[in-house]
Amino acid sequence: MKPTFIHWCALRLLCFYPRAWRARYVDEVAAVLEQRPATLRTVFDLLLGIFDAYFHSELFTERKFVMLQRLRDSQLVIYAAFACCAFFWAIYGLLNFYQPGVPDYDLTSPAPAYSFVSPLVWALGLVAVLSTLLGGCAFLARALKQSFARDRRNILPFICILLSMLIFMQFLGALYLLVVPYMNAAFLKVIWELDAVAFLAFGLLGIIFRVRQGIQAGTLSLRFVRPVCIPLLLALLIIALLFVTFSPNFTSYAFSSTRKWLFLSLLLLAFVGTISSGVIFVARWLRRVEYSQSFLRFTLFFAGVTTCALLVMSGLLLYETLIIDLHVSTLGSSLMRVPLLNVITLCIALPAVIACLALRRGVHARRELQQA
Amino acid sequence: MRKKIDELGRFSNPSLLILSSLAGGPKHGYAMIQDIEEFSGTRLEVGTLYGALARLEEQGWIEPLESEDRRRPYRLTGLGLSALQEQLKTMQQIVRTGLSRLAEVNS
Repeated sequence: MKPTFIHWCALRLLCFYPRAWRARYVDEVAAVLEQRPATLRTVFDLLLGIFDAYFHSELFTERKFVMLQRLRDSQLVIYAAFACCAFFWAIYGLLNFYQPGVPDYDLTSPAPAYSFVSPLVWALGLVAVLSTLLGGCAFLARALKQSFARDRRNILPFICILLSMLIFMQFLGALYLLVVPYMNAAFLKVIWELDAVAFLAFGLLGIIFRVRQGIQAGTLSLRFVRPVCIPLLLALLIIALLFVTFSPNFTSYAFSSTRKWLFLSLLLLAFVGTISSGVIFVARWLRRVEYSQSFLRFTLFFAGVTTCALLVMSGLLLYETLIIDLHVSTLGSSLMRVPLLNVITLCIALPAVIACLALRRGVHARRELQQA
Repeated sequence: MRKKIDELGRFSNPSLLILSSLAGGPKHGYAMIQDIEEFSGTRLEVGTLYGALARLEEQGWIEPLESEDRRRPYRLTGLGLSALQEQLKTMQQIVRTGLSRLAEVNS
């Protein structure tokens, strides 16, 4: 169905409904509007519906369903915030290893007293990783079980996209191998090439399976296809073509001075496309699954542990950065690393604060569920 | 206290149509709209449909099932079935009385 202006208006009107109504019905209404052309009468009816939803908010609030959704969403936000923190924490750690062309502030004067921070941060990071693995795996296991029970073909795109995202994380983690003494450069190159190929292959397969499944079921959302799939598929296809054509000397071909920027921008597009589509896909997948009240109450504990660990960890890193800032400014030197450290620390602290707010929301929903 | 269908204000008629549609088996929003259009000729708009569904759910006359993709099917509950039967009986009585009086007028 070709979207018309009236259809667009009808979809926009849904944003004006109360939050609880949207949490409960917006997906269903959007699905109906996708299948049935909206008319002026539909728009008028939706407008009346907005007033009705606000005047009869008791129909949509404090309902078990909404509370369960809120409890689930708060936990998913916490795990997403953890992924964000972990990404920037990896960069923060790498910054401590690589100091190209800048003198080490610790060598120019006595080291400031923040040596206790690093082991604490590592310990808290480990706690956050473990609790996220336990809570996150419980969510994934439930999602896989339900999808498998519904239709076996459902889990193929999910597994492919999940694998591509895990490989991407492994790709980032492999950067740490660079700091291992006597590490064989050729070995690292092989690992990265394998990672890149596996990441792109699984990402591509996942998208293809998802698109095929959507076409078969007639549920493929244009919002998913247009911004994510098209540039991603194009970039992946071009890279795959380059890879097949020049496979014996692929790296030297791709990184030759003339083609370097073209290849790097394509690679970046493919990576961003795969990660964003993967995140959207996994998040939507997890949101479609039915979680019982007892399951969500149980997993909230792990989400809480993750949040507390992230919050204390980001506080310690902020403290460390502050000490470094003060130390460097008293030395009167300016290091490029310091503003970069500040930015990265803020990038760690912001998701931690978001996780904290999500936890508060989750705890509130859990309390209301108990009272209900 | 449980209400009757005709106590749902402007949502009475849509609610009756929805309950009648669900009496034929669980359906999601779009399937209900199509079914209602087929058996009654009424084109139910989406805002009215979900306003009525929320009220029916609150009364415990229908219940949501596990969603299929983004489409959530609903089914009639035991309470919904008795509410529908009661309403249809009243309507049947009205129809019978009305038709017999019309027949008297025509004769």
